[in-house]
Amino acid sequence: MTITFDALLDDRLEQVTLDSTSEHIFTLFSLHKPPDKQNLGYISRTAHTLPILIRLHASLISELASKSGQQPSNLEHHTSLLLSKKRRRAYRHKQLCIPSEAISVEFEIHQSLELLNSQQENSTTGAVLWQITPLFAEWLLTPGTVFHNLLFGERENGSGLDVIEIGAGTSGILACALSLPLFAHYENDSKIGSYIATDQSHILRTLKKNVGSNMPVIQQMAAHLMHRTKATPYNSVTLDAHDKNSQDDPGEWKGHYNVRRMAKQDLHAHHARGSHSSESEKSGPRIEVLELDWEHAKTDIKDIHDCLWTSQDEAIVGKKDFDIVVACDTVYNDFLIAPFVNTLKLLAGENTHILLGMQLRSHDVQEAFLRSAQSNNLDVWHVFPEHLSERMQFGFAVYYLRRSYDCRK
Amino acid sequence: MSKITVAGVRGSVSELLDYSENTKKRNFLETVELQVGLKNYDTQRDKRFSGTVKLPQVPRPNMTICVFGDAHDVDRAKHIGVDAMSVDDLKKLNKNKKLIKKLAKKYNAFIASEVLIKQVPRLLGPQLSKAGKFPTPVSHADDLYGKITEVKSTIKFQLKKVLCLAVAVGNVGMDEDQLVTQIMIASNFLVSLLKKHWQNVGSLVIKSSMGPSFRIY
Repeated sequence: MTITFDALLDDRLEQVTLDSTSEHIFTLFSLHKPPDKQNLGYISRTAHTLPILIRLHASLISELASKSGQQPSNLEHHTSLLLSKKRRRAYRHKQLCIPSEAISVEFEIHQSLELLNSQQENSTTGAVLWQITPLFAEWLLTPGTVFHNLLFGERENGSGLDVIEIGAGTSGILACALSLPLFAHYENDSKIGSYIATDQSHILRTLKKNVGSNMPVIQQMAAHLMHRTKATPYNSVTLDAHDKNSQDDPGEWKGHYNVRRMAKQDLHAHHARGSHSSESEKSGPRIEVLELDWEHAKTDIKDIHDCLWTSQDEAIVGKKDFDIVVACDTVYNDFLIAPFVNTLKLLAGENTHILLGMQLRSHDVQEAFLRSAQSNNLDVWHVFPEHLSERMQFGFAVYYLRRSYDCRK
Repeated sequence: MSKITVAGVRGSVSELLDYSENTKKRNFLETVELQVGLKNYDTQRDKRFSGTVKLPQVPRPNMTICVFGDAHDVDRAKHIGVDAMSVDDLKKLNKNKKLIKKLAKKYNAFIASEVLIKQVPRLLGPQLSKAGKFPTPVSHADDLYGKITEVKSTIKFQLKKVLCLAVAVGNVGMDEDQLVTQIMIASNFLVSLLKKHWQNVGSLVIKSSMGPSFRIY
C-alpha cells in the first residue's frame, strides 16, 4: 500500500481525543445541527422500490474521458477550477476533453417494508434505506475529497483493496458505488479487490437482491461511459448462490446458521469450479454478501475470514486484515455502541482504515460512541464539515478511525 | 395518512380551554403540553430520535433565553431586553461547575454569536452539552429579534431512555384554531421521527399545566 496514514491526515481532518470530545460535540451540534423538520432519516418508508441517483462529479467524468481518449471540449474551463494545479497542467498538456453532460448512476433499491413493519423481528432498522448512505457514496466518489485517493488512487503493487461494510442494511449502494470500475486504468482493473457487505442474517436476502440486480446494470453503464464494449464481470459466491436457492428452496434463508453453512459450501463449490476459469479470464472485483452480527462479531468475522482467505490460493496466504472498513448510520442507540465498537476493534488491523458516515441524532449517543472508540484503542478523526458535500453540511458527520499507534506494534 | 383529525383534536382543545378559562382559572399562563406514549419501540435496537420543528406560534412566551455575544450582539440583546453575556462575563465564571450548571438551568435556550461558538465549550466546559442546550448561532447579518422568536417557537422531540416524552406546544392564551394547528404540526412531525410511524404511537394526550388531560389518540 502506498497510501500511508500520515499522508491521509491532512488539515481536512481534526483528531477527536478524549479531552476534545465534548468540545467537538458542542461545535458539531451547534453549528452543524440537523435542519428543522429533519425526520428520522429514512428516504421513504412506504416505497417498495426507490430510484436513487448518485451524481458523478464533472472532474470524474473528465477522468473517464481522458481514458477513453475523446476530443477536448470547451468544458475544460469549468472543470479545471475543480482540479489541482498539477492535474490542470496535465490535462492541458494532453489536450484532454471534459464531456458536457452531467452523469448520474441510477440505482433501483428494494426495501423490505414487510420487515420494517413486522411485529416479530426486533431489529428492523436495516429494512429501509437511510439518507446518509447515498450522500456518503456520492461524496466518496468525488475526486479530491478526503478519502478519494485512499480508495481509488494508484497503488504500488496494483493489488485491489479489500473492503468490508458493516451494518450495510438493505440497499447495497456503497457496494455498487465503490466497485464501479470508473477509476480503473485497464479493462477489468478495479481498485476494489473484494467488497464484503455484511449485516444481520434476516437483512441479507433483500441486500443480495439489491446488489445482484444493481451491480450488472451499473457495471454496464460504467463500461459504456468508458467506451468499452463489455462490462467488467464481478465475481461472487454468495450472490450466485442466492439466485439458485431462492428458486429451489426458499426455506434456506431462515436462521443465520444456515447462511453460514451455505457460505462455506459455496466456497468449496467456488474453489472447485474457480480453478480453471480464474486463469483464463481476469475478472472484476469480488462482491460478497455475508452475515456479521455485531453481537457475535467474533465468530462471524472468523467465518468471513474463512470464506475469503483461508484457501489454497497462494497469493492471499498470510493476508488477514481488511484494508477498509465502511459503515453508514450505524451509531444511533447506546445499547449498540459496545457491540459496534467491538466489531470495529476486531476488524481493525495494523493498516486498516475505518470510514464512518453518520447522521446526527442524539448528542449523548454520539458522544458515548466517540468515547467508547477512544477507550478501545481506536484513534478518531473528524472530517471538517466544510470538506463534505453541500448536502452533508447540516445533520451529518464523517469520521475516520484507525488502531492507535501504540497498539499497532 | 394522519390518524388524528382536526375535528377530533378541536373537540379536546375546546374542552381543555373551557376548563382553564371557566372551571378553574389560574393566575398564570398555563402551558399546553403534548404528552406522547410510544409502543412497539425497541429501546435497544431502534434509532434514538431527536428532531426539531418550528411552530407558527411561540408556545411559551415566558421562555428564558440568554445570548452569548460579542460586543455588537450583547448591545443588540440588551436593546431588545434579552439577557446577554460577553466573553468576559463567561470568563468570570472561572469554569466553576456549580455556577455553570446554574447558568445552564436558569435559561431554557441559548443563542451565541457565530464567531464565539467555538470558544464557548472552552470557557464553560461540558455542562451545556450535558444539558443538551446547544446554542443557536447568530451572525451580525441575522435579525436577532427574529432569531429569538425562531428559537422560542422551535420545539424539540428527544427520546431518552423511557418510552414517553412531553413537549410544550402552546398555552391557554391561544385561541382554539391556533392551538389545534400547533398540535397537528407537532403530532405529525413526531410521527415522522418514528420508524413505524403511527404503529409506534401508543397514545397522544394534551394537558394544560394544572388541568386534566385529554387523549387525542
